[in-house]
Amino acid sequence: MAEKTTTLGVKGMTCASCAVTVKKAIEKTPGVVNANVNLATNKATFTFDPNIISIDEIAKNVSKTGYALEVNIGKEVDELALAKKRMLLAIALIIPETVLMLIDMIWPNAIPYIDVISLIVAFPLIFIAGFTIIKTAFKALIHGNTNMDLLITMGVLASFATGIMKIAGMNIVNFAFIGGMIMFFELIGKYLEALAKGRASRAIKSLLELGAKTARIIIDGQEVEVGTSNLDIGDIMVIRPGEKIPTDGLIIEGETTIDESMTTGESMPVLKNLNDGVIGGTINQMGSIKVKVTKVGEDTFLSQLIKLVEEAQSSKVPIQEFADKITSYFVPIVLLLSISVFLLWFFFPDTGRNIVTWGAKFIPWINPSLNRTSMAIFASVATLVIACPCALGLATPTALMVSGGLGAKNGILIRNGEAIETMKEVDTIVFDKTGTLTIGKPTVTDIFDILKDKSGLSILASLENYSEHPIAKAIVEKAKNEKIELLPVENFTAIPGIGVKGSIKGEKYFAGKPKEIFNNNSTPAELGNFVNKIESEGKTAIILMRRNKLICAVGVADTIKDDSKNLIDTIKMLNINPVMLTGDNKTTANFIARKVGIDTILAEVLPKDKLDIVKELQEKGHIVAMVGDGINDAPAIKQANVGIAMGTGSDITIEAGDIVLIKGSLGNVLKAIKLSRATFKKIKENLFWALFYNIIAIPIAAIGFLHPVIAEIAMAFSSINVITNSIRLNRVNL
Amino acid sequence: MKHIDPVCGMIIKEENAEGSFEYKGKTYYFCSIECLEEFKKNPEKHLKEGSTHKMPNK
Repeated sequence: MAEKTTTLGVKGMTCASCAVTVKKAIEKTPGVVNANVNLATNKATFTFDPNIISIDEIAKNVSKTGYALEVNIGKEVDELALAKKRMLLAIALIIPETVLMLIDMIWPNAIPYIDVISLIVAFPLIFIAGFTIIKTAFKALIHGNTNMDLLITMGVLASFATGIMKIAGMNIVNFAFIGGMIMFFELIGKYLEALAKGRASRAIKSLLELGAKTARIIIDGQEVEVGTSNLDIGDIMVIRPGEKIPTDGLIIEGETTIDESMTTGESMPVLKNLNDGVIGGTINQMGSIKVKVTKVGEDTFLSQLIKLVEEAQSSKVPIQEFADKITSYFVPIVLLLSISVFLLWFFFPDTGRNIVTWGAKFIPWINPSLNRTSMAIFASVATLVIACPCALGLATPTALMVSGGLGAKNGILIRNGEAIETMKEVDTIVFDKTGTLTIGKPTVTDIFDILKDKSGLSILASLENYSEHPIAKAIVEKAKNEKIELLPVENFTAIPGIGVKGSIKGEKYFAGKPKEIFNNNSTPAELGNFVNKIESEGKTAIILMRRNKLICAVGVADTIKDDSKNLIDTIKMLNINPVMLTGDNKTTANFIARKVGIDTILAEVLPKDKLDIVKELQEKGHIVAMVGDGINDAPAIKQANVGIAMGTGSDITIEAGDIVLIKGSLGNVLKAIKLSRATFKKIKENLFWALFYNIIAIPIAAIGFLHPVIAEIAMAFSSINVITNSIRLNRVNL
Repeated sequence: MKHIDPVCGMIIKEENAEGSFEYKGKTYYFCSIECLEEFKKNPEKHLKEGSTHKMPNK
């Protein structure tokens, strides 16, 4: 199976039903596995088998429904500019219309041929400025689909038609001006929506802007400035202090500190030396470096990040499926409803007239003297217009878009929209100890040196410098950190499982685990105490002997991350039960669990058992989140209700979790919980506001109390309200 | 490997070069045959003048 996942722009989508139609069209195509269409970003993401079907054929199916897949990327139309143009035209046309309408209202019959004039004035507004809306509606209708533009179009056309009927001699009120007004507000709304959508998607744009535009590379021994798109793998870049790293690479000369907060959310600059990797978009701080390019274009960390964020934004939250379902039934139902409203008013005008006469006492725009046809049109047009569930389609995607950007800025990627909804129900978080609560590699934690000149560590490190063992490396690193000089060793021998031997300055030394040595020697009391204390804490003790005399001992252990205790405390406050899993022995596990404050510990766990432990917790009725470093914990992370993968280094572990924490800072687990909860709350609020308008307003419109123009203003406001509500997510303090 | 065409100052990749020419032990690469011919006529002139092209765009 060689499935491919592609994201392409979609043109012509104006509403949530459009998105559903496009999604169906893509999914219906044989060879397509699944598809997701996002109205807010105007993008479709789908997985297909290129052996069975080509993108062009999928695009053909989409165009049959009246929309277009943007197969040739790069020709993206500036929707905002277009919307603005249409709005400006509408404003220019609405001014004479309003003036005429007012004159006609104040001095009826003052303007001769007002009906003809009204048609002439409303025509360009409806059919020129509003051309795309009418076109989209009819295109969809021809293919047997319904969309929200159709509701507006029908309302406007019905209003315009009354003008023609009036001229034809029918006894009817001319609503042509109102038709023009509805179109005017629709166009204003569309523009404001485009503006707000742009703001909501700014998060991704700001990620894109993180990339440097140019790079200085060495060509024929000289520094030449080139655009970053012209970089190739193997080019040597020169990066000065304060400059952005143009693309991913390896340092081949110099040393510096780099502000990597963009990828990790951590503000501490990172020290970088020869052969260290650097990430494009991060900021070089202290030193001049030469970097060999290792990744360009789509392969870079930044591009991967953007891709993940975009994917996350088009993934579906289960609550949205409910919204989608409503939307796909909504338009046909509203059409039927509006027709029934018309028929009821037409055939039972007396019932209606009684209601309207009563309402006219306090609602100024109601005119009970309208004849039955006019009243029927007035009510059914208002129903059509108010019912448009545009806001419903924007509720989830705009919230996801803002939350995705906010998360990315903090080093959190929510890959799976479902996680947002599940996260609020999580009552148990399982942590894999190593690499999650602890740093994941041994470090020297205790030193016991009985030599007067304290040269024990220097000798020990010099010996261990020849060994490849992780514990040996920890000791050498400790010495390097303390700027202790290492001495040359002669006759070095490693005794596997026991220790190492060698001579320094003519003296013979042995370093290794105490057990092996205590077998041959009596233990000095002070050392015995030290070793016992170290081992009771689950640490490993290493001792150094000179000619059978003990001179130094160190304790080595995996150390707890600084923020672990804080995190566990906060999690407990949120009423979530922390559980620690580890493959380590019980002593080590208990010591660490006690230090960070976890009560439930499962030690000596084999990787394959991790999965079963998560399953067991789930069978007991718990909703489980699993935090792991993404490689050996992958099955358990998959099994958990919410899988949280700690990304390692500059590689993003894409497949592992629902939520990926880039460069696992544990504080981000908490941020991820907060972000999911806040996002889900926003989605619920949005859905409420979107539905609220429709449910309240449709009956009011049906009984003839709602002016069609006010209905249109309310609808536009509803969409804008949902979008701005989503944007407010940015204020969440993570 | 990227190189600078000493005649026109363009940056070119070795594999995309239309021609190359060895002069005083160093290989130069060219974006076009025209540049190559031009260089062959008077290498010294272009090596001197070329340096003005090679300045980073400031």
